[in-house]
Amino acid sequence: MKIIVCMKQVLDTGAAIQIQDGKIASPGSPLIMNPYDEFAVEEAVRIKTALPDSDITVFSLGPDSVKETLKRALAMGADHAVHIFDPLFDGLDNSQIARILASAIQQKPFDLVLCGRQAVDDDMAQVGPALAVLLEIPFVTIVTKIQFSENFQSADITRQVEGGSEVRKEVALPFLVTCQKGLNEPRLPSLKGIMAAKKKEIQTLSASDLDLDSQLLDPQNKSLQEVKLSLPPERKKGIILEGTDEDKAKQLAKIVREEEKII
Amino acid sequence: MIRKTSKETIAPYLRDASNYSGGVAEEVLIPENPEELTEVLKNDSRPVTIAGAGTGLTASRIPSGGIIISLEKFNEMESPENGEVWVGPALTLTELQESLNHSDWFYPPNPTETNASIGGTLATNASGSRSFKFGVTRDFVHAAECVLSDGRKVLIKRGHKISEPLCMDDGSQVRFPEITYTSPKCKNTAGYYVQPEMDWLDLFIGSDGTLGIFTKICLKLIPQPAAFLSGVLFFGEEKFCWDLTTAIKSQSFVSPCSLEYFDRYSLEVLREKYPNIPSQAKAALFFEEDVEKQEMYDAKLENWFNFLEDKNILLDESWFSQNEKDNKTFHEFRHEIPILINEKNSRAGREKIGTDMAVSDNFFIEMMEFYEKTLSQSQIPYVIFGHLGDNHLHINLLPKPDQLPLAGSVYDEIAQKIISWKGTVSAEHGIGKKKRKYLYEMVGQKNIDELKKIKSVLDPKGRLGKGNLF
Ligand SMILES: Cc1cc2nc3c(=O)[nH]c(=O)nc-3n(C[C@H](O)[C@H](O)[C@H](O)COP(=O)(O)OP(=O)(O)OC[C@H]3O[C@@H](n4cnc5c(N)ncnc54)[C@H](O)[C@@H]3O)c2cc1C
Repeated sequence: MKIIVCMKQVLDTGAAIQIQDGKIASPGSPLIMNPYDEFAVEEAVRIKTALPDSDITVFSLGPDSVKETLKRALAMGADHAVHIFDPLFDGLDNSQIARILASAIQQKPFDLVLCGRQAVDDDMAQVGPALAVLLEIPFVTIVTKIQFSENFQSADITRQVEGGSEVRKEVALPFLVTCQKGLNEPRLPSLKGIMAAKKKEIQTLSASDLDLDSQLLDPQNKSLQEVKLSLPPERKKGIILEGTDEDKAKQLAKIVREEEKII
Repeated sequence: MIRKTSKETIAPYLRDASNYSGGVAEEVLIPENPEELTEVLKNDSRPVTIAGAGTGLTASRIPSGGIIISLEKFNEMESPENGEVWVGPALTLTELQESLNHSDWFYPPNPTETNASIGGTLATNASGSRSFKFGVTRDFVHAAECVLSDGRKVLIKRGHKISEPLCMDDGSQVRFPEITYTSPKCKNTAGYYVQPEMDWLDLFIGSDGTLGIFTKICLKLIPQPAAFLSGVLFFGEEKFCWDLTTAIKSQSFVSPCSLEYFDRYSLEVLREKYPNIPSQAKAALFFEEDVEKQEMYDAKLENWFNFLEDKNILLDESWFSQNEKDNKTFHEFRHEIPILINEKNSRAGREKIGTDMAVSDNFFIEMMEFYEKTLSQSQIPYVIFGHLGDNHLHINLLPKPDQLPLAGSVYDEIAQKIISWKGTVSAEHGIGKKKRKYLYEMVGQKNIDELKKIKSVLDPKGRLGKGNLF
């Protein structure tokens, strides 16, 4: 099976962020693989274990630092990595990114595309579904289980819905899924995996390597305009009341009545 | 100065991580500055126990009377310079490490519990996984300002030997008593540190809050390593892990700074939180190596690969770091085991029954085999984890209520064996109030009398840390 994984590099979920010149900045914080994309890579590696002549290619669009995260996917067991990078791709919106990915993926035949359910930085959940539409294949989102048929021609796919789950029966390949927590437990890289990853090459594709519509990259054609970024309002600092229980109760009653005016 | 006198405001200071419940104090005093501290000590005659951050495991900060002085306001930190930094004793390890993260300097001691205060880590001579290569807290103190129980003060620096008297701020002098005792040479914090021609500083460090109060501390720093290379190795049998440790110690191809053990029962506990621990694993070893310069990283990685390749390890399932975040994940994995065990103890309303014993290298395998045999025969649930590289493991006994007396005798049996090997009953947590019996057994009555002589020249009225050690 030819498996494609789309992976995004994001800021560590624990990073403290600032807004500088209209962009999110967090100098010195680690960059990691989007946690939902880890499920996608892991699932690909598990399918390959079940079906050993499968072949896994991971695509990632982003700056040079993305290579580090691609190496991780290779160490986890992916066979090939493709880094899509061009200064022209800076500041594009989700549908433009999906178009670029589609044109890169379409260069070779494929059977299955795995994405994360959403990137944890902008939480858009757009690229996966948009990509499926552009590739003209069916897609299932927020997936927690993929049960292939014996001949690997189709799969029963479980997706999470409000309060439970539903199963899409016999979805025929090729299809795209977006992976949700619960699908699997991503592995940590092994020493052998890391050493093997060192020997695997990362291919780079730029705008000129892709068959892109010249209109596509025009900022005018963005379907999404970012107006402004701002940090959430700072939370008021808590106060700790001191004294005996009775004192504290009195102080609290006073605050609730006179300052907060709740009662 | 803040005074806390009501029962509920004192209560939090009567606890530490030992679950010991016998604490009593008249009040808690929180001086704002060193002057207030010395004033209190000069004008009050009650016993004094110093409160650090309360992460201690021996009840050493829990008084059985008198007053508690908390130095929590003394938490300042100067900027690091020329390989040293001055800090207040209440600064926590987390705060120190976080501010050094963005500097060129590194503080090697890394006790697992980073909420501990620097003052507390000096009092217990704390160590951590990295002590295997770098040494213990004592090795990273350049100077300390100490206040005695009567309010006299002294700045003690490295190189200030016990053969010279300690000259106090009021012009008085303290002389080291004539004694013959010397403390064990293995990693040890049971009783006072005593070696011929040692520095005064070394005596105060590891004195379990009984000789002096640290009010300002100058720590030694080393250049920040460019990276750490770390991993968690899994084994099909515990013995394979012990053998690998012996193999690591007898070569210089790889040079880990930490070697931390998890036995099969530790892994069982950890599986609740880490379902990706390989199912066939019966033991694990966390290792890390400091990498001085980034360009050395790949070569070191290759060394580890070549070294481990033909060893008895579940290498395909073992975890390796690729970045700083992985290192953090593995440290958390190590930290999680005492935390999960402490939670189990709290839920069961059980005091922690944990060993902190160590022996020298030549007894390592014998010790491991003895632990394995004694504990499995006892039928008491247990876990073993900790500093395998230093032959220093923490056995935590988790007896059912009807096994409590048995747990006591198993502990005694282990302590006696360790003592017979000239090991220590406490390598890093200290003696406090919980392990006095074992200190007596370890050093004997004559040496206890000698240690008391040291106490009596610095704290003749026995006010400080009453009930700790003796
Ligand atoms: C989950 C867990 C993991 C742990 N891991 C480790 C480990 O890896 N290595 C290790 O060594 N320990 C470990 N410990 C034990 C504990 O963290 C250390 O003993 C630590 O040094 C205690 O510091 P503290 O500030 O909490 O001291 P406290 O518990 O408050 O006090 C300990 C002693 O220090 C004295 N003291 C405190 N401040 C001063 C001062 N300024 N001057 C003089 N005396 C003072 C107190 O009077 C008392 O005798 C662990 C504990 C827990 C709960």
